[in-house]
Amino acid sequence: MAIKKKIKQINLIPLINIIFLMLIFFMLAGTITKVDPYKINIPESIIKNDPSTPFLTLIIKKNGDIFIDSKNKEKKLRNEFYLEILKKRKPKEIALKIDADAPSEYFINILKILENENIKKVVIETNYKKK
Amino acid sequence: MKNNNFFYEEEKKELISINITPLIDIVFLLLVFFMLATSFIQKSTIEVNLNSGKSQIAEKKNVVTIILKKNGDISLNSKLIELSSIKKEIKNKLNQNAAYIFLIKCHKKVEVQKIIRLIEEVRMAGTDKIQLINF
Repeated sequence: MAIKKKIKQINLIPLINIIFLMLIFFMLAGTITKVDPYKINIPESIIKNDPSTPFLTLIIKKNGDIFIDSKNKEKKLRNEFYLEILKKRKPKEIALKIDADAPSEYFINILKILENENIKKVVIETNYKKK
Repeated sequence: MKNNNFFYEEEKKELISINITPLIDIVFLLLVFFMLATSFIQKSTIEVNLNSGKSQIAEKKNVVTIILKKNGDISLNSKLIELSSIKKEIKNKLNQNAAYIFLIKCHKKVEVQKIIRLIEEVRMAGTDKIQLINF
């Protein structure tokens, strides 16, 4: 009877060990990221710079749609409003999240608009990829 | 007496074993959370200073033109060049004259990814004086 009982029990300790190891790996190696509601594929870069987080982020989709994302939680604003917001807030620095496959005309147009709005610095967000 | 001892031992055995199932449940939940919420993609940025060298371009003084065509072909001062060798060419130009400004003319339909790579190559050559225009 006792032998039968022993056979039925499964030793879970190795499983727990592995799960703990995986948990520690994911906790240490990964970084918790904000879910991107815009789902854009940002360009890759081979230079590693520290990601700075300016107050305002402009998001440009592949089809040219422009959104504003700020820490004030004023999200998903359509392109007609972004210029008004820029004029109202007058940020000195802006982050640009642009789709890697977007045509360059959208990119250069937005740079021109920002230049006209007296914005001195634009930070383009990229994914770092080793050469 | 013997029987009493037997029961005592059985009781002792039951007390020692700890139920670890809730612990495993929580560890599993934590594992699933970290697997879904973490990302291994490293973020980076490229800084662009607007208004740099605009007057120089207007005067057409010390301007090196880089053309980026729709198919990704790059030409430096009308000479077709590979992306991998552009850094070297720009370094040579900068050795001749450090005041050179690099005007990147890119096709309207060329992807942003290609411009970013080109900007990076120019930056790696050691200059920040870049202007972008469309054609």
